[in-house]
This record gives sequence, C-alpha cells and structure tokens, in this order.
Amino acid sequence: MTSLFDPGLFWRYRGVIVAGAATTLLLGACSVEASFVFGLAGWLLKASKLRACAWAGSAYVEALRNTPDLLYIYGLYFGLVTVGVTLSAFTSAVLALGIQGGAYIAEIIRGAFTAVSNEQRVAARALGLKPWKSLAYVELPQMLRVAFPALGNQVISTLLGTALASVIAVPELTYQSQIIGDSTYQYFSVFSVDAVIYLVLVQILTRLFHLIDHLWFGPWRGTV
Amino acid sequence: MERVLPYLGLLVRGALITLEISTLSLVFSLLVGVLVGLVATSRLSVARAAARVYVEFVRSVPLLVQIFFVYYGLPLMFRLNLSPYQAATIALSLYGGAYMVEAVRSGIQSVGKHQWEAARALSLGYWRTMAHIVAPQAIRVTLPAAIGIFISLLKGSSVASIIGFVELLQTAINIRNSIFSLSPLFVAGVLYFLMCYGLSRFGGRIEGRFRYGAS
Repeated sequence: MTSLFDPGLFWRYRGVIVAGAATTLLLGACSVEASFVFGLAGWLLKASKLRACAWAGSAYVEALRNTPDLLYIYGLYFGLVTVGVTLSAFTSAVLALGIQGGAYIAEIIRGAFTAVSNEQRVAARALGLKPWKSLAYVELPQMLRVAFPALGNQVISTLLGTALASVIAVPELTYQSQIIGDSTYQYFSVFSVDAVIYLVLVQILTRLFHLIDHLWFGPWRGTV
Repeated sequence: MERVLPYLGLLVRGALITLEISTLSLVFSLLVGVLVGLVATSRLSVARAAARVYVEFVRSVPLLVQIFFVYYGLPLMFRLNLSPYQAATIALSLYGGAYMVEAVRSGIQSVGKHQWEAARALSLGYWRTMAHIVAPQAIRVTLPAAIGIFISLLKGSSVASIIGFVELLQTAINIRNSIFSLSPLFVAGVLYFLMCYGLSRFGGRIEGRFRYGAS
C-alpha cells in the first residue's frame, strides 16, 4: 500500500499472471474461430438471393455492430440459464465474442467480395467451374488477400474484447489482475503489468500479421 | 416482457446518461485529438514519437484495463478521489482521443503538400494555413471518422458499468436482478441500437455529402 509501484509483484504472482495470460490467449483463439464461423455464415446469409435470408443477414450484422459486446456477455451468461441451457462462463464468453466479431467479419468479407472484380467470376464460369468451386479456388484466395489487413485488426480487437469476460469470472488476465489487486491493494502495479502484457501480445500479433501480409501477399499487391 | 414496462422510464434515463457521458467524452476526445493530432503531424520527431506511443498504447490495451487503470491507479498516483463517473469520463476521453488523433492526422494528411507550398508562396504562416486552408478540407475525412468514434464511445461507455457507474447497461442489469427476466437487457439492446444505428446512418449521409468532386 505504501509504494506506488511494486516491482516484485509480478514475480510473486507469476504463476497466476501467466495462467491468466494463457487463458486470455485461449479465449481469444476460440472467440476468433467462432467469429470466423459466424462471419462466414452472416455473409452467406446476407449475400443470399432469398429476400428473407438476406434480410436476416443484414439484421444480424446491423444489430450486432450497433450494440455493446458486454450486453451479449451478460445476456448469454444470464439468459441461457433462464431457458434451461447451462453454459460455462468460458463458453458463453466465446459465443458472445464470436457472435459480435462475426458481424464485423461478415462486413469485411462482403467488402473483399465486392473488391474482386466480376470478370473473375465470369471467367471462372467460362472455364466450367461451378459457383462453389469458383468461390473456393478463384475468389476466396483473392478475397483473402484484400481482406487480410482488416481481418488482422479484427482478430486484435477480439483479443482485446476478451478482457470483458472478466465480468462473468472467466479466469483470464484482467480477472486475475483484479483479484491480485483486491488482495494486495497494488492496483497501480498490477494493472501496469496487465497493460504491458496486452501491449506486448498485441504488438507481436500486429508485427506477425504485417510480416505474413508482406511475405504472402506482397508480390501481388494491387493486382486485384 | 410486461414486467419490464414499469421500468421503461428508468431505462430511458439510463440511455440519457449513456448519451451524456459519451457526448462529454467525445468533446474531450476532440480536444485531445486535435492537440495531439497537430503534434503528430508536426516536424518535431520527439513529439511525434510521443504521440505515436500514446496512440499505440491506447489501441493495444483493452478499454476495461484502461478504465481500471484510471479508476484504481490514478488515485494512488496523485492522491485524489475519483468518482466512477469522473474515472469513466477520463478513460473514455483518452480512449476516444487516441482514435481521434488518427482521424485528425489522416484528415490533415489527406490535403496535398502542394497546398502547403501554395499557401507558403502567398506568405501564409503555419496557423493561418492550417485554419483557413487545411482544416476546412481535413474535416471531410475527420468528421465521418469522428462519428464512428462517437459510436464506439456509446458502446464503450457500457464498460464503465464494471466500476459501478450506473448507465444504461447497469440500469438494465439492476432491473434484471430484481425482476429475474432478461427483458431489461433486451430493451437496453434496442436503445443502444437506436442510438448507434441512427448515428451511423447520419454518418453515412454526411460522408455522402462530402464526396462530391475531388479535393
């Protein structure tokens, strides 16, 4: 309580902090995966020729993009219990973050789809590729190139969003920090350590995405 | 669902509080964004680096951690007392400010160098060039981005509920805890949607209006 910054704190609680960071990464990875699934589904719905499906897709994207993610974390955690489904805190956080991230990913995919010119689709059809094959072999690889930077940003914001899972007691980094803070009153130190860990994780991811973008897609920049 | 009806007034009040804290934070974000944005586009490399560090820090740390940092950390640092409202406003302003810096910077950089040279040739100084030539054009890029930031502040203000600030989300949770139904959260979601979607439509219209001709 006396000193503002206690450098020994990290060392004393290293086990808990590292476990918290690991949970954060796991939660982030699961949520990112879930958000890709929801995003792809959302985009397919939105791009559908059936009016009802397209409407449902748009409704999903707009509703989720214009409401806070904390609402879904609470809503799923409290709500599914009311209808008889009991999910662990971890699973409801993954679902909440996945549904929320999916709305953004659906929009990113839509943007990439529009960016790939229609000639590519026509050419693929002319070569006798069925729409699904044309999507898989011709369009998706090019869409990935266009969408890659935006997808990278979305992965990072999902990772940052996992901090909110602390409100339903998922033992991730922020939750552990809070517990340490509550028992030692070293809030300043513990949240500094917490912030630095997030900072390092995000910077590593950013660099990694830049590198991948450069190595894989660099030679084809601006060709779509 | 009908059990939530008596609480509708409370929820609307919560929405107004959310709107209030977001607007206040937006104003401070604008101040931070313009000040730091000018620094970020200046010729002082040390100041530019400092602006960079601020922006990167805010964008790489979860908003919740920033709020905790301000709420629990700052009082220890400066021996002051912050209410949840003040802490949330400070944290949200710094958060929005970092994004605003980027919006201001890209606005300023969207105006070509030749305009600076032309202004220089007319013997206009830095401030007059900025105020009369660059800023009016930069606003085209900055204003739509600022509306996006306002939307993130509206959504982000829900995180302030965690330090005990009773805004829309916390109001909904409090009501849920007394009537044991999910409907207050649903109503809160609708209210958030109305505010954010309305703003984003408004932003889309502004962006469309600014798009005539090339700058």
